Amino acid sequence: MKNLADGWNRFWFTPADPTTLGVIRIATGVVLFWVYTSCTPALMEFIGPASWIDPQAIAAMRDPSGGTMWGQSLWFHVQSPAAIWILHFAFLGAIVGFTLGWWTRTMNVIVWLGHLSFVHRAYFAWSGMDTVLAMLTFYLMFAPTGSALSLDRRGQAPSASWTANLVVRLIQVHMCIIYLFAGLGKLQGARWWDGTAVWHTLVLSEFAPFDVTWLGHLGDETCHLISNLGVLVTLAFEISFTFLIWNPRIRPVLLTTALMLHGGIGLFMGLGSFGAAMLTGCLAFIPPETVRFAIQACRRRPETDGILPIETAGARRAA
Amino acid sequence: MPQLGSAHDTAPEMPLARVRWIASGLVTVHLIAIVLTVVSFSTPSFPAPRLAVAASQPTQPYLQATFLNNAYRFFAPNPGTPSILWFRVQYEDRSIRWIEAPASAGPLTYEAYQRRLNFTIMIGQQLAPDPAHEGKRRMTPTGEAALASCARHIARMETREVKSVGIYILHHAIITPEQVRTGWTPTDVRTYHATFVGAYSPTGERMDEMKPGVLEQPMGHLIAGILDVDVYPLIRQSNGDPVKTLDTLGIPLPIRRILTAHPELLDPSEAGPNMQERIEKLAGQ
Repeated sequence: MKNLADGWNRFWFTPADPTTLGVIRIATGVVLFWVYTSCTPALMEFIGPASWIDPQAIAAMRDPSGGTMWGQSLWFHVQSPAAIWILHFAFLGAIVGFTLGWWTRTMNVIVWLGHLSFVHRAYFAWSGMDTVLAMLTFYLMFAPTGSALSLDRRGQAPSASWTANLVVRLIQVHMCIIYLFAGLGKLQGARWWDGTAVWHTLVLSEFAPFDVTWLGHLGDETCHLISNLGVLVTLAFEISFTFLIWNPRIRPVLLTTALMLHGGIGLFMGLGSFGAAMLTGCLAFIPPETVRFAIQACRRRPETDGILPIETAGARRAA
Repeated sequence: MPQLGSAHDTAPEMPLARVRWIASGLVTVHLIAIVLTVVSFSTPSFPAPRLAVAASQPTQPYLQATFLNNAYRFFAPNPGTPSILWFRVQYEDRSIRWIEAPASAGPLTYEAYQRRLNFTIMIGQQLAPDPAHEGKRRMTPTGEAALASCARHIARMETREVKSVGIYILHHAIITPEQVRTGWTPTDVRTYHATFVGAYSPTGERMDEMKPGVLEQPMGHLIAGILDVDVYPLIRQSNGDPVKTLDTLGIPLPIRRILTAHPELLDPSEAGPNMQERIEKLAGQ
């Protein structure tokens, strides 16, 4: 029992380098900035007074069966177009601040509230990408994400922190839940059983950035082979992820597969931001040392420039 | 430095036992809530366990508020067939214009397009079996509210005064490799299945006689109707270029494609009672 408790404590509460979280924060911010900047020209279609789902419909839909819907939104209360534009640009500014690590915790809270406000108000216009971004911005609020790779701590060494580890673990476990149930859910579908699901996703003309139906001219056998292989890789990856990602030797293989899978979904289905959000979640599995090594390799500059060696308890005691 | 997945001893920095207990409790409750939401998700073939559904209820306020109440069935159980919306807008001056949603978008506004597409797909999912009439379908209350809102949105966006907005949901089937080899394209008109889901006033009241029902229409029937009611009168009236007339009316792309491929269909003198059959035959060629 004591071993179990020790294991639990080590898993969740061992102080960790927040550099990985710094990278997750930046990646989350970049994805959010792209998504909301790209939506800006059509902002009023989603949250304006004359949006596709207007306030009158929201009122009708929020209480269709006498129950209460708990999702709240700033845009339920702000309906003046001028105010919407001002607040939206303030939100974009907060995303920039969050990404750069300026007043990071405050910006994180604003970004989380802004994102939830949009998805709850836009109602039917959200997708899986939004759920992953909501998860990431939610967890990051509880960690010192601004203590690494940020303007807040520019030139200072990040300190190891147990909350950094806790939040990385939460993201890791949540990603495992996502992949496991996305994979198991597919086992209930006829298209995944007969191996044609990947063909179905490739030729969705509403999503696909370019037409790949020419594959059909290669014959049924070739199409089935491509689709079946895609199905097998997808199912094997998603279902095994939860169990194998904890093995340091297999982890690079799984993360590379994740990169290829989400890259493929982005390329062939046009769901690049969904893939980017999922890959951002997968960053939680990259150890901080690897992240720091990669950053140093990119910069090719001495380690003491912005990314200082982590200040551990031992180092502090020695000092 | 702590390693991922292992535990180097940095005990001095671990939180106090009291803090660990509280944090452990919160993490446990949070993760149980997430898992309960995921396993309480039902599909028509696989209803969720009642125990899981009941157990997940108390956690819904928290998960809904934080938008963590997703079942994570991405592309599951099957990759869905997309649905899109077509609006037939009739103005007070009796003129007509068709509007497609989602409208196409450039690369810089692609996320807005994706959100519009999510929106039309979710509305398509609101077409559910009608409990009162076996084998028939109707919109859920949420879907009806959404359609009424769409009509109001269209009416507000138009510069001319709108009299009514007819709404069609189109489910877009996936073409097979065999169909590709026989000349079908992804937007072939034969891959669409249309359902008329009502005509709405600019203020969102349903106006058609069919309410609250819906009408599934073969594409040939729908195209014949569009030709008869919208296209031919305008061609006769303007005596102009029939293809230009299609542009003026904003006829949806899959229909425009078949009509421009077979311009004889645009000749009002060729119209007759067997128009639907003719269209279906030409579409199948």
